[in-house]
Amino acid sequence: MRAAAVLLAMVVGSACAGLAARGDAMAVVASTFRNIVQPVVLVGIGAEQDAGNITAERAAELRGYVNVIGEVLEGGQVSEVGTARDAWNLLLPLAEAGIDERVARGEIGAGVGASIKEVLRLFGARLLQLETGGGGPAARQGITLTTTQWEAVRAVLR
Amino acid sequence: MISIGSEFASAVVASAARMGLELEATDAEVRRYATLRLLHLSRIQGEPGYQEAVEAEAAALSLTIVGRAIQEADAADRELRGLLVGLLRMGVTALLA
Repeated sequence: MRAAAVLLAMVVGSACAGLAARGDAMAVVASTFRNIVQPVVLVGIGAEQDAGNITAERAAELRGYVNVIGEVLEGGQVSEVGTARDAWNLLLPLAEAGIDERVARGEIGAGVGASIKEVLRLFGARLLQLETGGGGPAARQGITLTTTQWEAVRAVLR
Repeated sequence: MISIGSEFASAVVASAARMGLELEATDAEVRRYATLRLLHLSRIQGEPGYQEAVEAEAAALSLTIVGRAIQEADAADRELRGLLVGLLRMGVTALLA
């Protein structure tokens, strides 16, 4: 066990030696969304649709909302991170239901589901922080929502 | 077990520091969180979809570590995520050895 710990420390040292770049909260949040959160949400929406809990039209709306969050996080022509937070509050229950469904089917274990939910929790916390944490990356990038995106958001929130 | 968790947490903090990342949480908070997540992973090792959990925990650690916006963010994010996945795998292996 001690040997493993020493090896761990050695690997870290060598792996970090060549890294000069620095990280960015927005980039991490955006990539977390792309790689983990978005697929989870889409599975959740699909599960709800399959179960007959939402119509195809509603599912399409929700998928559009997922896209809105992605666009906000990618820092395109979007001006309000708060919209992404609102969208997230709407989508989170679907995402969690999707995870629960996968656990129930035995596709993933309960502990794996808990790990994914942990990311969802932190992702939501970061979104809130981006909105309210004055001077954060989003604020500096002058994020604004287009009229079309606003309409999409309003349609989903109705 | 505590020793490995501590080594792992130190490795995560050291990784962040050497990459020039500014910790959003305090050093102690990052260490505590990293240790907890490693222990969680070690407990669920072998569950269906375990690899997803490793990826998720790496993302969770990334979200905990990162501070403010800087240049080369996407590249740094990829590096950090890859590094954390490797550290988590090694940490779990060490814990279960």
